[in-house]
Amino acid sequence: MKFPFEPRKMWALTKRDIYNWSTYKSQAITSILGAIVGIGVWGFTGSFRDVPVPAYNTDYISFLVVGILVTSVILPLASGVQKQLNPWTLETILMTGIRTPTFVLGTSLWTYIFSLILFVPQAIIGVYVFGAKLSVDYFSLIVAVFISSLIIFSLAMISTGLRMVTKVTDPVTWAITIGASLLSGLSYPVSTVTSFMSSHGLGFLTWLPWILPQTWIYHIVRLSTLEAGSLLDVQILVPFLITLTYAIAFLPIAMYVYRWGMNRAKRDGTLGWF
Amino acid sequence: MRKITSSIELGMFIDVLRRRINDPIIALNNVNLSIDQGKVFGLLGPNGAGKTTLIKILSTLVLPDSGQVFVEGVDVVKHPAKALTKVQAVLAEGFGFERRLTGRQNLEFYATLYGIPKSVAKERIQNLLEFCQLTEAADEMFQKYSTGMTRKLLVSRALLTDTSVLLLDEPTSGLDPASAADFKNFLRNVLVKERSKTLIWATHNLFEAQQVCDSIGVLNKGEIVAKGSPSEIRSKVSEKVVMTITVVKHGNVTDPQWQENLLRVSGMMSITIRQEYESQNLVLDIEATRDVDYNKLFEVLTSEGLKVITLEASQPSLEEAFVRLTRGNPKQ
Repeated sequence: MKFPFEPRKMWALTKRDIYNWSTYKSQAITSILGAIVGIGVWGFTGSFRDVPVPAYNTDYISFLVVGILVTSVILPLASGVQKQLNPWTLETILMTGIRTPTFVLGTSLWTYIFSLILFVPQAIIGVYVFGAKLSVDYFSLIVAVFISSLIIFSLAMISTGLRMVTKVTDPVTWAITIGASLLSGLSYPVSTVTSFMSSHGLGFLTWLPWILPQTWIYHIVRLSTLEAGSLLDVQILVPFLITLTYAIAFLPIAMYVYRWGMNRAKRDGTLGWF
Repeated sequence: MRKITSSIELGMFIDVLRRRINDPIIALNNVNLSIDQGKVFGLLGPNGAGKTTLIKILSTLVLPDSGQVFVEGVDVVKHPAKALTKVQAVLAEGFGFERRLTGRQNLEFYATLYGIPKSVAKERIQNLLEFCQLTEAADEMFQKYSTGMTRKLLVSRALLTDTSVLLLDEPTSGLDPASAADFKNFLRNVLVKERSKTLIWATHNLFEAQQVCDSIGVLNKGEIVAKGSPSEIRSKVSEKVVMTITVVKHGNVTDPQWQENLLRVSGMMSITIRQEYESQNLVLDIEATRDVDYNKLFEVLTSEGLKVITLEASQPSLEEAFVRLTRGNPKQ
């Protein structure tokens, strides 16, 4: 069995994206400034309403800053491949016989690397300017980032497969993203949503946030960065295992959806359409 | 289903049917072709005939609804990755080049995606750039390239992997006549004659097809309505041959019935004889069927003491043949 990723080809795709990005100088500058200003906006929001968040033994600003960092580091994996799915290059790239995982990861890698680069100034601003208090278990954090990246990579493949058929956007990823922004606890704890549901006659829906993979991603990253959650602690380990189950379940689904999308577009003769 | 054992010796074996999605029209209706290695096969047809669909099926970018496509024995539908080691395409639309990268960088990028080792790629790209006369523009951004340069870069990319079959979809469209002529010479003389590549050349340019192709398939509304050499295609639309034979008399004509004797030759339909102006030559305007017995015709002329000076046989042009084949009565 061949290794599904081809590092040299992935690097070629990434190098292309870096080169393209760097030649648009104004875009490069504005995207860096935008990310830094963005964390400032969230920092001020957190400072304005600084209340305790007992779920993670922290305050709201720390809770919020970690949420934003997760959003800007892990989630762009899914959008990276969408940006690069150009009909004017897709056919010729596929004619090279490139493997699916190489293509998907290669086209999203620069977005991911760029997010990691931005993470540093964002984290510094979050901690030193707005006083976010981090308490990190580094091993748990690495595991959390790895599992989260697997899930997001799978979502990217699902999105790519669907977009080969639907072209501009895909309803599944859209629904997951919209649902996540409302329910998964990016800028407020999930308990805020479930309490609202319970008090408004929607108590039967309180499970809803917990079926979204993003909810678990935010949860395990916060456990490892806000309260130094160790994987030796069963209460920490369980959410990690649940998130891992998502990751394992999503990969074959993602491969299937990608292949389905590709074959459907080839059968329809619309692979190069936009 | 047709046997496909011979496909290994052929450049290509194609036998496909493809419907248009959400459309009752059949894009390709039982297209059945066998193409020899090291030859140029022209895929001739009007716009919308199905040429690009067929090219994309061969390039693994479109799937047929049914049938088989083999390139040098490899099943394109079942083993697309392996097929792509045998065949590459120059598509009419969607160049697939990065606008901000130079021509050389674009080729380097694709060389890596094709899995060509860096050391091999560097030399091969340089050779291809020289080969396609792009050395001077190699380090300019692709977005500055003219149409002609873009075409050459497309061919350079298709040649990176040195596959034995090359698919060309309208390869000279947008080129000025001089560049088109150079380009055709390059493809015909270098790729086919020197490197023995098989070319599938999709075009609606009849002059080009006649110039470049060894054989042609005329595609109309998804069906192959004629196939053969350009002269065979021309002859398919005509039941008769019109000849003008100029003869000179040697001595006396022995048989006063010689005209009748000529008309008795198998395939002869009519003959008109006139005296050429200010000479002793006779001009015979002959109409005959395509299978006229030429040997017998010349035998009769010689036995009558007539020496043939010139012979002109006119058939319909490829353009006439194309129009007749694609506008009506294709079932010749």
